[in-house]
Amino acid sequence: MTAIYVLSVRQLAGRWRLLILLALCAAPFAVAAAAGSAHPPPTASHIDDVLLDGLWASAVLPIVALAVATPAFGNELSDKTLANLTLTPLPHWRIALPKLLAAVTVGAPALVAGTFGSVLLVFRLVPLPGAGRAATAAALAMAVGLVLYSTVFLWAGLVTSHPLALGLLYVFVWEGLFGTFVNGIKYLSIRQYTLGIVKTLDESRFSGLERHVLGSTAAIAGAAVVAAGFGLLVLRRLRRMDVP
Amino acid sequence: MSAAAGRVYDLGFRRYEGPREGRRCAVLAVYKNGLRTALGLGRGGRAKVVPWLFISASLIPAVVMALIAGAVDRAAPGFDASKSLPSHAHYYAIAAIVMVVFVAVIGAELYCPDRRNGTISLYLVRPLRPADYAAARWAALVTVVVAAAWLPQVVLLGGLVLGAADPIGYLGAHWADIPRFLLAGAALAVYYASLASVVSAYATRRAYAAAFVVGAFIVSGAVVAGVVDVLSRETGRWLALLSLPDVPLYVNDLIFGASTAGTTAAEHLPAAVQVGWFLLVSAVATLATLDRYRRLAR
Amino acid sequence: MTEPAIRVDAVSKWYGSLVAVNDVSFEVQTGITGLLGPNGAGKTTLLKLIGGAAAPSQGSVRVLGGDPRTNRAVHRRIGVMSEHEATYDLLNGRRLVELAARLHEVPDARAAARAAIDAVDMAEAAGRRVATYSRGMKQRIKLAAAFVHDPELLILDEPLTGADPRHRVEFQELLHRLAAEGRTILVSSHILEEVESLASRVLLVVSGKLAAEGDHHAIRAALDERPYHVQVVCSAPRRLAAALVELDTVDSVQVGEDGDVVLLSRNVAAVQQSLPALARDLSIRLTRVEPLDDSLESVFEYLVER
Repeated sequence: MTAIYVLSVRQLAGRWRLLILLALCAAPFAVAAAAGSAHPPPTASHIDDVLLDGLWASAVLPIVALAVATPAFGNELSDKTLANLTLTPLPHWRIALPKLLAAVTVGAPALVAGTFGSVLLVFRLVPLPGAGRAATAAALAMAVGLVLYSTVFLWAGLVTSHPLALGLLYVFVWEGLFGTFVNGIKYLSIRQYTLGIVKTLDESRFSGLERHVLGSTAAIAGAAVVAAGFGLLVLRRLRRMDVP
Repeated sequence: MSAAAGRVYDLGFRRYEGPREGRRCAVLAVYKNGLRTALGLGRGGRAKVVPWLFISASLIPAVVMALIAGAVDRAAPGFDASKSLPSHAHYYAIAAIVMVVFVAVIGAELYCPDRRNGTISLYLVRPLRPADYAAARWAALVTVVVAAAWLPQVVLLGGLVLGAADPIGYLGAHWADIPRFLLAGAALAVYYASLASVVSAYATRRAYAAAFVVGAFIVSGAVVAGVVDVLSRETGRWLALLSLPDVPLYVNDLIFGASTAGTTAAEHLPAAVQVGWFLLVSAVATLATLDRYRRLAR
Repeated sequence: MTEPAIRVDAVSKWYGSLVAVNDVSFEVQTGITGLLGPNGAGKTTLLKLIGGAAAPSQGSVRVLGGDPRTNRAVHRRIGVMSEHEATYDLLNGRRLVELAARLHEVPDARAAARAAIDAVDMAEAAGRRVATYSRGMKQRIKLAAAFVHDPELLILDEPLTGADPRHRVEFQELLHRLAAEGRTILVSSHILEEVESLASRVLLVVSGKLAAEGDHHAIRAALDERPYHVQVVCSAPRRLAAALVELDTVDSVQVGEDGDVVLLSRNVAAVQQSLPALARDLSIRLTRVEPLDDSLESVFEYLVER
């Protein structure tokens, strides 16, 4: 199992991919710095809207997940090397889990550090109270969001030959476009689960998107369902598919 | 024995000695092939799913807008819906994300597989220069995106006309919208297609090209939106030009006299600057694509 | 009789309306068995079914007593080499073989990998990245990865594509050695000479169906509605031909331009017994008597065209 984990990390941690991940996770610092030095100083609500929701949860998080999780199985399928892993005595979960962990390993450092740093920065600059807690809550929630998105995209990479197109459609059309206009979609949106978890971890301070952030129960339940459900779907697919 | 009693024909391999078309025909063939690849025509059901799913997704806002206008009209007749409800001018801002993803995915599909599979060398063996190939692919991408940009607007127009109390009158009053959305749609298409082309010309896999295009659009838009308010007015206006998704929307706003872009700061700049910047970005991206292919073949 | 290494029972596999494997049944015992057929005959699909990469639409596959799809443990004893050229390009040869060893739960992966790499003569290049290998080198390293865990059953899909003649010979020796140790090896190919020299038993697949199985001489003999061609070179072809036509073991006789006589007969043994006496009686000197279509090639051609 470690062998698959190490192999997958090496496959996913290509030079260009890492550079782009770094650039993606660094971009919000510009916004954090700008917001922190704005006059009049922004409220916590405004920061949540612009930085947490507008940038991290809606843009950087899903793209990072797409970049690391869709190729995890997607590249194996298109290169036709998946048989090397499945025609072995290993049970399927010992093939899927290291792949998921590898994707999260490659994507999480930049994501978590970026979220923590940018939230801390803006809270210190304004200044607003509770900087440390806000930053930790945001970073942890993003990590959870990464795991959730990665599980879904891992499955997508196994199931279709266009996992990225469908991933983009889900994130930006379903969660983004339709989610803005149709209220009920927030119950079926990983973005919303992530934001809900930020709120759960930092209840006292979080006031930003009161109108359309999920309550803790819904967010945690949704997250658990997605993680478990798509995890089982991955195993089912590995069991039943014709490996090229 | 009679001379013409029987004949035996040689059915073996024959060489082709007829006329051969030249470069122009080759370019046209690559262009048509690009159209078919992009729309999944002649490639079985599965290849059609992605493009037609996106086209449907882009039609939904148009249909919804038309329905809302029709409903308002019935509820409050005489109320000129087009003045205050979202209309042709706003469509591209609303559906921008769908169009970006569509162009990113289709663009990647047109450029990357040939290079990855090595079939590009089959193309370049013909009397087809590398820049010709890239130009034909670019043209195919632009054609498909223009069609995808115009179709929802036409549907919206149809919906608004049919929903109006006096369809002919409505058309007469609003005919100017038609050339406007045609022009705005074409500008949008050329811009998106050029950017998607240059990224796909460099990326190794389809997935990376598409993800990069979408990522660049979304992140640049969000970052600029977050930063612009803070800076001084002058700097803010010029910085807003760096917001990739807004550049074509500035042109859209100039055409319609509206204000739909995400970051409207740049709209205080002279019109010539906004249009000039739009043309510059599109042209540089296109030329970079052609240049990349020229270098590849060397 | 012991349980066969592979038992395929009324197996069919279809993809939509395309039937890749059509009601095929056979058993494979220890030793080297060749799976032969033209391109598109269904060899790769059949090997995927046996290896567990795909599930049969109908019928059952049992490998080493287990179902390769559901029984994970049986994969410890199977080694598979696929036809695809692609491997993990970013690894070097040694790491690739070590990875295969670890995935198959070999206790000392390094040592096993070293042994396998030596056996395929890739020790020098093992430190370089697989992306830099030639096609033949990639095939050899993949073969090493396939038997690094000492499997009882080896399934090799077109293993010799891209191999140069020297390696072809070494490969055959290696396979014979492996088979002599009691293993079962199933090798697929569309190249007749390879299979002829490698395999004692042959499975001939045409258009998804099993056209013939067994030793190729025995197959030929079983095709008894097709007469054999025998070529006779002698000093007086036309006189011999006239005499041969009178024999009732001979179906027909042709005299070629260079003066050789080709006769068709369903009972070559009888012809070969009566021919010397006939020639002596006519005072004709025989230079050569040769059956022309006893080879696998002619069997193959015949069955493919049927």
